[in-house]
Formats: sequence, C-alpha cells, structure tokens
Amino acid sequence: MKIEKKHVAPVLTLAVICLIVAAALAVVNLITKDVIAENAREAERKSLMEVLPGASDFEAVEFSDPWSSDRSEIKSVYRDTGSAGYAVIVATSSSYTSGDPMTFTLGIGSDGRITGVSVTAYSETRNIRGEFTGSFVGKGKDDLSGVELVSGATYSSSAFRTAVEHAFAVLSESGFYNDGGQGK
Amino acid sequence: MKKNSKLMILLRGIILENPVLVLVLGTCPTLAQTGSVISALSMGLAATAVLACSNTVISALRKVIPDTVRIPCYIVIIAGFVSVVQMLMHAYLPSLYDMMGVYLALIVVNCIILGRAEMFARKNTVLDSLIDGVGMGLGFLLTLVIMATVREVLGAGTFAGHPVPLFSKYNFPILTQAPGGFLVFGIMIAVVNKLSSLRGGARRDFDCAGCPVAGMCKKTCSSDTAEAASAAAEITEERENA
Repeated sequence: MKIEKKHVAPVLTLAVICLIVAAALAVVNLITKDVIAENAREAERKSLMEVLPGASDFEAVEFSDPWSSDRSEIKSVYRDTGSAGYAVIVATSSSYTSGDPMTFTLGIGSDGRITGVSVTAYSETRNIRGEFTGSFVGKGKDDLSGVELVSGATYSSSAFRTAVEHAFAVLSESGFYNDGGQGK
Repeated sequence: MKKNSKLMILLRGIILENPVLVLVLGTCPTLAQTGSVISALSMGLAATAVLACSNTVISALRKVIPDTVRIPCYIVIIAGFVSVVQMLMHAYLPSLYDMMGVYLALIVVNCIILGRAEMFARKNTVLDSLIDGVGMGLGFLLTLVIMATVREVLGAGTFAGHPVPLFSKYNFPILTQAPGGFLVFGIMIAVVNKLSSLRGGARRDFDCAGCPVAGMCKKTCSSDTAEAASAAAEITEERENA
C-alpha cells in the first residue's frame, strides 16, 4: 500500500498540535503544582484546627492499631506540634451502614478529653450530626458508654460511638496517652 | 457603522447573535451555573477566556490545519486551554474552583466554543476572531449573570450571598432548581425574540456551517436576501398546497 502525502499531512498536523499542547500543559503544571499542593495542605490543616482549637501545626504520626479493622478504621493520626493534643481521622465500619462509611475527624486534647468532632462524609438519611456528635465534646475515654444513642438511627450512632472508642484505643496503644488518660 | 467593523463584531456577540439566547448554544452550563451570581460570573469569565484564546489560535492555524482532521485539532486546542484555566484556578482561586466542580472541565464540550471555531474562526483573520471570541464570551457572561440574578434574587432572596430586602422573606425556591431554570431561560429567549422582531427582524450573518438543522432546512437563514426571499416563497407555497 503506497502511503500518499495527502494521508500523511493530516495525521502529522494533528500529532504536532497534540505535542505542542502537551508541552504547554506540562509547563503550566510545573508552575502551579506546588501552589496546589500547598493549598491542599492548608485546607487539611484548617479542618484539623476545627476539632483542636488552639493547635499550631500538625504532623502525621505513625500509630499502632490494637483493634481488628472490621469494626472501624483509623485513617490517620496527627499530632499538634504545640502539644495541644491529637486529631484523628476515623471511618466507621461499612457493616453498620448500607451506604458509604461515615468519616469524621476527632480532636482529643492533652487532658484526654474530646475537644471537637467534625463529620466530613455522611450518607445516611437520618442525620445524627449536631446534637449527637456534639455531645461527645468534653468526654474522656471512660465516659463514652454513657453517651445516649439516637433513636431511629441506632446503628449509625452506635457505629459512631464505637469508632470514637476505637480512636482512644489507638492513641493509648500507640503510647500517646498513658492509662490514666493524660497525654504525653 | 460598517457591517464588518471591529465594533460590530464585538456587539454582535453581545446582543444580535447572543450565543445563548439567539444561537441557543451552551445551554447546559447556562442552566447549571445560574443558581447563584458568583458561579455564573466564574463560569462566564472562564468560558470567555477559553473562547478568546481558542478562537485566536484556531484562526492563526486555519491555513495549516487540514480539513479532514479539523475537528480533532480544534478539540485538542480547546481542551488545552481549558486545562490551563483549570490548573490556574485550582492554584490561585481554589474556592471558585471547588464551586464550579465538573462544569469547568465541561467547557471543553461547550457548543459555543466549537461552534464559533467552525462558524467564524476558521474563515476570518486572527484579530477578528479574537474580537468575536471576546464578544461572544461577554454575551454569554451577560446572559448568565442576568439569569443568575433573577434566579438567585427571586429564588433564594440573596444576591451574591448577601440578603436582599424584600425577597429574603418572600421568594420562590423553585427558581433555584431545574424547573425554574428552564422557565427563566424560556422567558428570556421569548423577550429577546420579541425585541428583535420589533427591530424589523434580525439579519442573521451566520451561515449554515454550525447550524444543527442544516440538513433539513431550506436555507432561510442565508445572508443573501434574494436567495432567502425565494426560499421563503417556496416554503409558503408548499404550505398552501398541502
């Protein structure tokens, strides 16, 4: 099959245009990617600040998880560099809910008490945010069984409470808090 | 004013051949992004930037791009500009970027941009194409902002997030949702149609290249008045005989 010039020209033109556009995009990406990463970091820092007011900056820390993962999942643990406490990002188990797991951020102060709760992803129809999640603030590790569940959303609120217990278990297992609940 | 003067090209895009209300292009982002004035403004500005840049480049390359691959080439160029706008917005205007969501990327398939490339940029000079791009973009922006003002003020009682005296208490939430959007859109097109018929009928300057019904139509949009008159007479005759 003879390759005629009139068949080559369009393909070549399209290829050249694609290469030039790709090069231009690579340049813009180079300029903007650091700014974008910094923005993402700042947004994450702000959401962690919400649950741990008074914190200065956060660093992610390694943690050890004593519980099996089918109940809830601890996604990450952040320590405040100013020793105000810890922020933990938690996801509830999917066996409790019909949809996606709930994810929330928990702030625990250096006195072992919860400083803030912020729900970031929630897909259940009955909303347990607000009063129920707010009732956790000020509670310590040993007060959790006393938190009242929400009627009509027993599974979700129970899953939530279990996940909070899990967070405390992870923090003490990782050696961030001693058994008396005081932070190190 | 000369028919093809630069000012005429600019104004055509804003009023006479408004891309949304007259050419009825780009209706998807129009309906989706007019729930609030801020999102309408960002969509309008982003689309104008892409339209002006892509019209310019496509016009500059009009002698180079072979006819057989012109649509893929146009899409690559338009998508390139949209990606640049996306990255710049993500870096420097992150709140607007989050507000626009998927609709920013959808500017690539916005009919206005490809439509003007086909209808105008590939047949005119670089400067004319740039002005046309800016004009059409401004027409799009203006339409979006007016529609968003109506929908947000009457539908949610706010303007750009700030409460408005009377309407913050009494408003029609349906206007901020899909049915209300279609309603406002239809009314605006009706108003523009009425205004242009009062002017003695709009003399359309576009040809059949970008028209969706080009295959069926009997060329009544032709800018050659004699041809249009005979075509119109033909249709009237057919109707009378039927």
